[in-house]
Amino acid sequence: MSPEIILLVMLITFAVSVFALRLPSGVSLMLAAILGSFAGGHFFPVRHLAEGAFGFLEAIMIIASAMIFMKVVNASGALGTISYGIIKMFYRSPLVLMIVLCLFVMFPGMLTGLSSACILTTGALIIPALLAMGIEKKAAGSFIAIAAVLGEIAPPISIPVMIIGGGVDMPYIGFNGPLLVASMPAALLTSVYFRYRYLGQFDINEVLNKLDKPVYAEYRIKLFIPVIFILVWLTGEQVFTQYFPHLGVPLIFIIGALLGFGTGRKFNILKLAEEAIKDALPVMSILVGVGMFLQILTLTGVRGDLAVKALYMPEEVKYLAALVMPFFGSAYAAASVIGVPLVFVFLGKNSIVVVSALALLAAMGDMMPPPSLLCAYAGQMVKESNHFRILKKSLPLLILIGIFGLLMIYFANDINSFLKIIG
Amino acid sequence: MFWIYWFILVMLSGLIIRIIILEQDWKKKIAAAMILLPFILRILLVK
Repeated sequence: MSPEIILLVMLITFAVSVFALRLPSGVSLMLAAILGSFAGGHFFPVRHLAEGAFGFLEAIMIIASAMIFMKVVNASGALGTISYGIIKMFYRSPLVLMIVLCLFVMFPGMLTGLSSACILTTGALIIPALLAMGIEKKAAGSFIAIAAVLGEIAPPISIPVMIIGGGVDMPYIGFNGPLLVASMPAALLTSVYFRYRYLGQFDINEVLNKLDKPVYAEYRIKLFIPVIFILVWLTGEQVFTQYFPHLGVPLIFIIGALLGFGTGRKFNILKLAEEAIKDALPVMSILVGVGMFLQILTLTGVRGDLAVKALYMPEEVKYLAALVMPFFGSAYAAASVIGVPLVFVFLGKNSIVVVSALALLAAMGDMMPPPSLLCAYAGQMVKESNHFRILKKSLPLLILIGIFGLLMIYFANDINSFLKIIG
Repeated sequence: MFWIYWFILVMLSGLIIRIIILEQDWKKKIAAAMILLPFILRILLVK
């Protein structure tokens, strides 16, 4: 069969199993890969499916270990104490407060590359404070959902970038600067928008009463040892290579989680680890499925065909094709299915900046229907039964972020030159 | 370093197997089993 038919078979299989059979996305990607392989005449290529499953093994281990770490710092009381401290410290300057809260929600996403980690940990922690500050519930949900999207893109770990990079054999090196450009201006814009659109006067005592009580007085600085260790080691590995041996991100998170013992409230590490793996399971299975999907795309020649066709795409259609990414409804699906060929579409522009911008566009997909995963999570937290209202609240910002992503692609070479100048 | 990572893989595989056993929804069981495939192969294929 021709590559076009094989791709069609794979996409239809994926759509049917997700929407009609309601199978998890990871399983659907695996089924699409198997049927694509049959359509390509390779029948059931066990070797290729197993090899594809290994494609994102490191990313899967990072997600698993980082989720365990986030559960530990949450259970020890460190995250609750930090959120309490942020609000107490910055409440006199609401704009700075909103910026710091946005970065705080993004923090778990920066470390895990998972938007859901932001919503489920730091997002959940600050929701009561946002509501007590008088922000309406749909807007509060929208704020944490958008911050979660940006956390997924912010460095040092960005899974959509890893997926796109894995598809075009691009190592995950040199992305910190471009990912900061992709995420931080958008984070600033989000904070400014919510500050001036939704935040009025509020009573600080009422806000603090609604938060988890801080445990700093009880445990002092040792409460933050795991977080400090992670930040110091992740930075040290990059900057002071002679003093910090390369341990690998998963091991750093596991050590960080173990350091959590005795630094704060007591917790059952096995129970927390099981909860963490359970929360991360859907994303980890998607990564295994994406690996198989990409492997079969390559095996059947579809990937090469897409790359060649992408090179002949008219200039005006290229940017429209990039705008399709958010409508996949999942960052990982968008990154793997359309993100990979789009890198070839924009050959000639700086690929690292282009991949970062494409990852930003793909990440917006986590808020989009049909699953609207982040809006659904945020809706549960703010008790908004119709989570599409949260999406509606987010639309002005999502449109601006989308335009920003396209501008990043258009000016990719200039952004790269600018990043080189500032070192 | 290899054996440390080997141990982490064994630990994570144990957690995933526990989730597969305790999970009621067969769709989630398949999703979890998918993740187990590369983990188990990596554990067994020790050079």
